[in-house]
Amino acid sequence: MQQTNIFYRLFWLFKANIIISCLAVGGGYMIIPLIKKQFIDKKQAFSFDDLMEMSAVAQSAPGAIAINLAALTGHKIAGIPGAVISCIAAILPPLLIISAIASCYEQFIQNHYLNAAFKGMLAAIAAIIIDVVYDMVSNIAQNKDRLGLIMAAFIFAAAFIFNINAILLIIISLFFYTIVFHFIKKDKP
Amino acid sequence: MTDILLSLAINFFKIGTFSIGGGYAIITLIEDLLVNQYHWLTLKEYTDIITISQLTPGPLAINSSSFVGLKIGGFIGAVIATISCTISGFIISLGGYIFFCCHRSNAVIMSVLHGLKSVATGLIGSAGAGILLLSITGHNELSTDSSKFDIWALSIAAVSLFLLRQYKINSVWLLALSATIGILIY
Repeated sequence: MQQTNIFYRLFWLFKANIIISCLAVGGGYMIIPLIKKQFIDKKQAFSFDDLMEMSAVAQSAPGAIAINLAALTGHKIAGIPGAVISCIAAILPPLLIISAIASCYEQFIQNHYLNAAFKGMLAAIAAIIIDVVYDMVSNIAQNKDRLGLIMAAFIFAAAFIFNINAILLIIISLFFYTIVFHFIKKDKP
Repeated sequence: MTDILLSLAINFFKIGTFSIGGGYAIITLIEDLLVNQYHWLTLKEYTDIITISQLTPGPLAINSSSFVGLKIGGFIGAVIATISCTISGFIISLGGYIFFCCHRSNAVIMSVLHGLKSVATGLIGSAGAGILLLSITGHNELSTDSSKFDIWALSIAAVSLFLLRQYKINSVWLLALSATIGILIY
């Protein structure tokens, strides 16, 4: 991918992000499995480890993870122009769809078939996200990162069961990691 | 007109900058600003947007900025609101990632990135579990109320997960299939 012509890469990014954005129903997290499919499985543009790093940054930065991740993957493929093109392609579908249905949205959300279809899809979306989380957990496990596994389980419990705010969790774990790192370094000179 | 566009730009920039963590955490933030403070939306319209943003592609913040922008300032308003909402996330995540990439040899900074990977895994796992819960019980918080338990949704999720893990089925087909099943059973 990196060896191809810059215009080809930008065009490909635009196309790929339009497709991804159109399919990212049910909140922004669907973008991670979709990016994995388009960028990693189809094009081998980067590794799953790269995607995890980018997802981690996109998740911790302000704003929607879907848009942030589009910018980061675009930057990886074609620098700043790639990031801009990817972002535009990620924003366009929701912007145009909302503009198209804004005047008649009440019929839209009351449509029985649409809601039934969505109910079916929501269960599949949950499975798709759980599937990619499984990959992310195995990635941490492969790196023999026992602390990382405990941390992920702790964050999951804190967010899902106790509803603790994500910003708070990000800040606490950052502190925790710097402190732990400090002690590990002292143990092994 | 210009002051409307300016005020759209400022307020959606605020939403974009302060909505960290994503997902449902930002619902109240957007509500405070758009419904309670500026009255750009009624509460009914806002809950409708939450529904729309689940039914259509795109994150809630983008969908609400497009909708409010369109309502207040026409199509130009929608474009300005949406761009303002995404710009700070764009700059900060790009800056952050470039910073991490420039400091691959620095062990402390790398351990922070390492930590963020675990945090993201936990948070995304929690979002996935929340969606699963929403699809089988109708609400996305843990509760003992089991009256609405939906065995169909649980079956779709279980079969989907099996197909994904065992046969690496394409998620587009999976979405189309589950939508069809949804129409047939609900």
